[in-house]
Amino acid sequence: MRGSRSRPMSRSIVAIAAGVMCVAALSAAGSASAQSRLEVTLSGARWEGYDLGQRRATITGPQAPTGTPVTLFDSDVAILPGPGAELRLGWRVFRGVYAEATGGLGVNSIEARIHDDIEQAPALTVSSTLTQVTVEGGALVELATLRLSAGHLVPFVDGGGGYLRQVHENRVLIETGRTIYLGAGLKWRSSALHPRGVAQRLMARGDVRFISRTAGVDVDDARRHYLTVSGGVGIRLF
Amino acid sequence: MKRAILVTAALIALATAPGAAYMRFGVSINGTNTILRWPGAIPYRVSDADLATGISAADFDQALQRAFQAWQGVASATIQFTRQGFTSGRPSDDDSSNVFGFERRADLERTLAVTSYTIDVINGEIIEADVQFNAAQPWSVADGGSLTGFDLQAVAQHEIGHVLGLGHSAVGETEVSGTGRRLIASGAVMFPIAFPRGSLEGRTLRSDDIAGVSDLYKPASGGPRLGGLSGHVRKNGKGVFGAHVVAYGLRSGQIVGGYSINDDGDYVIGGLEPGSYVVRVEPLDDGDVESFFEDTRRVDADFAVTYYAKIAVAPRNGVAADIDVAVRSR
Repeated sequence: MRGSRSRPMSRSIVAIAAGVMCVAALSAAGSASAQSRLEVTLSGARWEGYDLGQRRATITGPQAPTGTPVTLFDSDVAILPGPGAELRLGWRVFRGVYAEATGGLGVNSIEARIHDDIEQAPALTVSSTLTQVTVEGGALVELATLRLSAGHLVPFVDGGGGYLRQVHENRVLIETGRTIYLGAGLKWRSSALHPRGVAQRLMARGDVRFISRTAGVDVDDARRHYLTVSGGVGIRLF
Repeated sequence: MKRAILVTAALIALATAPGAAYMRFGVSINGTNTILRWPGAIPYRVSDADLATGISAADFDQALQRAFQAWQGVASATIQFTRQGFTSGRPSDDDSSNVFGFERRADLERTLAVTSYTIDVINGEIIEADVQFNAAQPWSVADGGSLTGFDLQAVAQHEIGHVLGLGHSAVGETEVSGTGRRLIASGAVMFPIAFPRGSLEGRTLRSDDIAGVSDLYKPASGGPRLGGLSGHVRKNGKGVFGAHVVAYGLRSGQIVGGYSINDDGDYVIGGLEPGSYVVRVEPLDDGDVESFFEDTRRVDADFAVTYYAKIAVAPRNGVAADIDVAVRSR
């Protein structure tokens, strides 16, 4: 079966990454307190897809006392990649440490490739649109500041979790789930300190996030993993 | 005085029939179609007259009780049977009571059992439902089944499905074998061809059976919020009568069928868990169409298996519309 990953491994990854996040946050917090700062970023995104595995429609053969499965047809099910948009609000709580809230909207598709019909119907692929909304909260830790002539480049790691809402085409059905994420990226700030004027409050940001989600649209109860890649512009409000 | 009509449905051993789905029985009362269902608890009696060879009254009674329990155990439906003990009466008696018993019908060499209803044609209420098991057939009540006889509990479960108001499902596959048909596979207790001797598979209600009875006997409150799919089957722009429409739940694994039941090609499949479904349409082309429809001349079986072009989604507490499938002649 395609698409399912082992839960112990994903838990290990999450635990290790969360540990790294905590160490980094404590280190940064210990260095100094800082003025409050609010960053708002709007990004375009690509939400990657993932396999949901193979599903086989079977009925029961006539063997006695128990029959063997007879396949009506097979289907390979997947969520396809799609475009998205993400709005992030980051509140600096310590120097280099932000509490961050993210709202995301992605438009993906759920697809089933049908094959091996018992009456030799031709293979085909069927699909429908899936609109996904996420509301997540987490922490972002800036790892360093690289001073460049055109501004400051700040690599960061982040992590958190939240709520997933998946809306089927024509809003026929809404399904919900939960996400946790780990990510990394770069911020570019026109000026990291003492901003003067709107132009110097501008920033750009690129993110790669590893998402692990449970529930929602699925063919079983497995945890699913996928990536989102986003890039956008923002502003420091104060 | 109430007038009554008799409706029968038979479970067949190695005889006819194809396909996929549950169907609800209905009668036309003054031009209005009325679905057959019981308004409350369903009383029944067990006939101890003329039992089949090797089957005691206690064996028969216990097999029936297990079969009733299987239907009562459907969590998404409200079904209650009330056992009223043994009777020396026969299922063929016109006594306004529901009797399960044996009748020796050597002339019906392929028929295992028959359910008959007597229906008030004024208001559509069921006056009586009787089940006759054919004593001329070999039967088994062995826990592990026996190759010497058909499993009595399994056949009773099929007939009790009829008593509840379910027609034949076409979720199954057969192939021509001599003058009859051979069962390749079945996906419903309500499939009209029984599993062979020794098989215990007929004791397990399938998703098609459960969806059907859940649609008929929805709990008044507190039940699961099930959904459905509806649409049309058309060929050359015209509705197809008698097409078999199967919904396969990508998450639930449910395989539930329905039929297009009029000349507009309308179909509805209820009792589905909310979620994503693949919808497959096939003709009723490999067996006794009369197992499913009285008016077999209207059934159009001249088209190829066709899938709905999208993934269909069954909502909670509602029926998705316009799941339309255009089929082509073979």
